[in-house]
Amino acid sequence: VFGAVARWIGRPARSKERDQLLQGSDVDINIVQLMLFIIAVFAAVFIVVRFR
Amino acid sequence: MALAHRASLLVGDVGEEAMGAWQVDGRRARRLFFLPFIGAFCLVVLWAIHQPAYMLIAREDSILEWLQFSCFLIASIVGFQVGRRLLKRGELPLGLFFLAFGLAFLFVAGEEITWGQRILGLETPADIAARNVQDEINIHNLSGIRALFQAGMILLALYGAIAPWVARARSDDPRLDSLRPLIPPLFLTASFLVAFAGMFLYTVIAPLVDQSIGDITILKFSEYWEACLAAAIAAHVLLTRRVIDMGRGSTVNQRSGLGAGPQ
Repeated sequence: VFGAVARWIGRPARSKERDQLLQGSDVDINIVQLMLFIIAVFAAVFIVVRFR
Repeated sequence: MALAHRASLLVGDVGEEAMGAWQVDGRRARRLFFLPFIGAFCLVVLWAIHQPAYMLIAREDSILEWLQFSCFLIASIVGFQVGRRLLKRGELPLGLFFLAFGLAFLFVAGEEITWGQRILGLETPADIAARNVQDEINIHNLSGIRALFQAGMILLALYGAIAPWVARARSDDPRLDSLRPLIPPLFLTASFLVAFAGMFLYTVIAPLVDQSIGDITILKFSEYWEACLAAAIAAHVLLTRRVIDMGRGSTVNQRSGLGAGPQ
């Protein structure tokens, strides 16, 4: 699942808008860090909701 | 022998207070009390026998740092919830305190991941990099603010390690009643203590010994004690929310069990 999500996030730009959006910016998404961020947020929300 | 007896009484207090005031199983509380020490021991052993495996866990941007982020995020969300509940009960100062607490830890969570800089691979603007100790887009590493931030975290850890024992010893003091929601459970004091010891080692001792003791670089262990602090803070607010939700009267009165046991 993570591989599929990582491929989806890291997919090549397909639209002009996306090209324009990223053009000239120094954004370079780090897939591993993004995955860890998502896991960390989910873990936090899970604990907040479940620990009662 | 007397020392061992005294220690066993203190550990007994940990379990008793957990059951009485926090509705946490005593045996589980005692295990949680020892967990930070066991974790530290395991990490040191791992560091000694296989450093790549250790670094996988403890380096920047890895498991321990993201664990801290999770814990700070929990502290923030639940801090807001506790504040809201206390305000609904008319406990204005405490409610406002917990709202401020939630806001503060939202800030700390963002700072911990440098506001997504490493996720997005953003480069640090030159003017910030010039002033930031770690060349990152965050505030707590800016020269000048860094010392203040570290001092705040050290004091917080020291407070968490000592305050519950002081409150336990002065359980009859009515002035402490209104402060009960601010006092963590005894079984979290070990986590705060490990955090305090680590931070003290890093900020006070490390500069004196050129950042290392023998071959061991002190900084390599910093994520662990920071994680201990984050976990203890998150656990405290989660437990506080649970105690409030149990509806056992005011958060002040319901903790009157603190100190009900033998001293």
